[in-house]
Amino acid sequence: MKIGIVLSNPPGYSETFFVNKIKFLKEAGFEVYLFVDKVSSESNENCIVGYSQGNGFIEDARRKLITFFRLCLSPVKVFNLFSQNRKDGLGLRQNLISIFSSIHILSYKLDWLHFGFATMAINRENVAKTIGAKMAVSIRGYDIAIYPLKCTNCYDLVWEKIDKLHFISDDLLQLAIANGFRESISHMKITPAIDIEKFKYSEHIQNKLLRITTVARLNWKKGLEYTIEALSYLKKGGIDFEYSIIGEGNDFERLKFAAHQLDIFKNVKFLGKKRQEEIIEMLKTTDIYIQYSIQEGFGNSVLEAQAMGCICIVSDAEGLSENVLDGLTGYVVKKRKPELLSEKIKEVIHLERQLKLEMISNSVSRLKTEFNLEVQKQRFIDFY
Amino acid sequence: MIDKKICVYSGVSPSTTFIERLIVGLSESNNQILLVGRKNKEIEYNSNVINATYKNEFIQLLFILKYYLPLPIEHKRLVRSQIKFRSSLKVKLKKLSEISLVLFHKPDIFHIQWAKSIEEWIFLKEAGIKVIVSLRGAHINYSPIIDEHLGEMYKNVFPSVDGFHGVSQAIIEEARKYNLNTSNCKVVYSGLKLDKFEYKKKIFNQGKIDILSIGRAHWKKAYPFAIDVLSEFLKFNPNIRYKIIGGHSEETLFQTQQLNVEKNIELLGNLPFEEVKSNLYKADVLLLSSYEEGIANVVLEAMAFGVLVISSDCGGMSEVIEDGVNGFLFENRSKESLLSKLMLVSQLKNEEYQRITKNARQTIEERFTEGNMVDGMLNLYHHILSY
Repeated sequence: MKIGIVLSNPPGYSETFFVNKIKFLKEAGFEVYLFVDKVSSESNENCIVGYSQGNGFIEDARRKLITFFRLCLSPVKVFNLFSQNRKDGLGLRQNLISIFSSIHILSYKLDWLHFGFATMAINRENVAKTIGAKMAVSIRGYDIAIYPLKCTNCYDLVWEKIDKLHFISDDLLQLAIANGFRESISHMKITPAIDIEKFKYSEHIQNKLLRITTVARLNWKKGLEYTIEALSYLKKGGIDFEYSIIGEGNDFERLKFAAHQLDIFKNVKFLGKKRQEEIIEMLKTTDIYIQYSIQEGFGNSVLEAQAMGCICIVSDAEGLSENVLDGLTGYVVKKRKPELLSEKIKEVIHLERQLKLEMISNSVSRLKTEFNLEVQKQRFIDFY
Repeated sequence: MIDKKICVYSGVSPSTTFIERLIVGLSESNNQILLVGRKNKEIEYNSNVINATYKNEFIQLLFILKYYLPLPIEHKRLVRSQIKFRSSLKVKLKKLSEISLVLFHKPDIFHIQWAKSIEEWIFLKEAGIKVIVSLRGAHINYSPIIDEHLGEMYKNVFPSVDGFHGVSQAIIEEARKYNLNTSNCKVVYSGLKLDKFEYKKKIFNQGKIDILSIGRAHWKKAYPFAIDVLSEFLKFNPNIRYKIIGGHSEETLFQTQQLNVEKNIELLGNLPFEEVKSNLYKADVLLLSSYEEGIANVVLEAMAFGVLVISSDCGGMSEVIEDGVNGFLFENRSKESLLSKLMLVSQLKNEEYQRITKNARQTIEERFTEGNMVDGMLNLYHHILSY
């Protein structure tokens, strides 16, 4: 079976969901083609790059030439795509955008064309049909929780053309339904999973100083300003700690200034982006892992932290309350309520050691049965 | 003080509203004003303003021919010493034209509006030009905290600066962390041309309150914080309406939807000045939720118009607002504090509302006029030149 996956960039090493998916499908004998808009230096994946502005004059000219050849190679398909788009009411400009953004896919014969994010399917709704493939779409967080706010009804045509939907948490499916997806269309949940061998539980040595960690991009969605506020209440209550944020992003200035104004500047460490091995080392000495997001599809890093034996406190944003079972494998706190988060952290600090160990054991055994790579691999295969 | 040449340097023309106000105000004195930098739009000034701004690289080249060639040898050497360590040709060209122009005109005072560029211009002292720096908002309040190298640079350069203008007393206090000598500092508050801000007595209706915030969608404006508090306040008073002009962003859009307050909280993009003004006239309350400000001009404008202000006590805001007298102040970043002020305001009687807004107008008339600003700045220049 031939499967084409459409993404904006080839997946980087940290995007384990796609990296694993491609690996598993290939192992199971599928032929996988990766269609991307731009290449990135981080990935080793072989992929087919679409039409986009090149870096520099020569590269740009080369890409334009390739696009021209591709247009010449599939004139019938280009015409068919144009006609179908027109039937769906696309204006000339949008229709041309649709053709140029799909030209690298049109010459392939596939069984499935799978859009890795729902936004990738916008303006490409007729591409799968044009090449005689079935159309699958994944919804992963931003694309279904935030993007439709800026562009109302943007998925109407996608839902009309789709053959199967993949979602990573139940809340996201509900959001898709709220945005016009019909439950009668085939859909399947495949959650992220982790390599239990790599993220292996080791008993934590009691730290002198409480260590709290978050792995997240420095972006408003991650609720880091609320987290910093919650931690400032902790400090006011006389509790000392070290809070490490692993990740980089646009909100660096905002968060560092928040830490300064809330008087926990010295307690908060902005560590930037780290390699997986470094994150594992950090998690080995982490007492509490926090993911207090405002919006979160599922939260892979929370699975990793649970596997490593950290007590996790998360918000109730979308997939997080599925990722952590409140009171059983960690704690779920209402989002945007830093005072509640602060109370929960205090509760965890005073939790009896035996109860903590029970919670960790619950998490680890749940991860082994529900979120291991073998289960995920089988679901990827079943999906198609 | 008369017949002095002052270069007001912000790097671009037109500059921000308050710097443009300063240029216009100063040009009404007997001094010559020199403007240097990139011209984005043609502005008409009085005849004593030498507008030596450039539109493009071609004009920069002409400037180099016109201003660099006639310079004396020691000044040419000075120019070269400043451009040799610049890496890109574009920057070299820009600096060469700007520096030559400044040395050619040789102003008595070179007044830098943004502290971050001080390192590039402090050498002008070697040519006998007095260098003054304005201490404004982010450049002092948070950039050097986030970027330690910037803080170090300030510590090294500030002792050599001839004079400082602080937009508030609070910012001067903050800048003291960076080896600032307070004896050559002066607070000069921003000022309004009052005939453009007509006071209008409002009838305040407790039942239905229109709250307004104005400002770009930048994190320091703390709109998510304001939306969180207003969502709480809506539980007590469902008749309020909150509008943010300039506050439309992915984050605030998602927040109003997630908190289910889209009906009461309206997010708008940037609007033309006249529309902003008419919105401000219509509002009952101007809310400044900011985490950081020098002194927010929008607060001064609202006070002049007769709109009641609730402001965070960040930066120099407490130098404008006396809590409960001419407006209300809440503790920066404190949701409880803002919520309690909102409650208080929502219960004000019409007479109390009018008393406060009248006091606010009086504050502006007494301390925040364009005349005060220009006199204050001329005094600072005079003080620095008399050393």
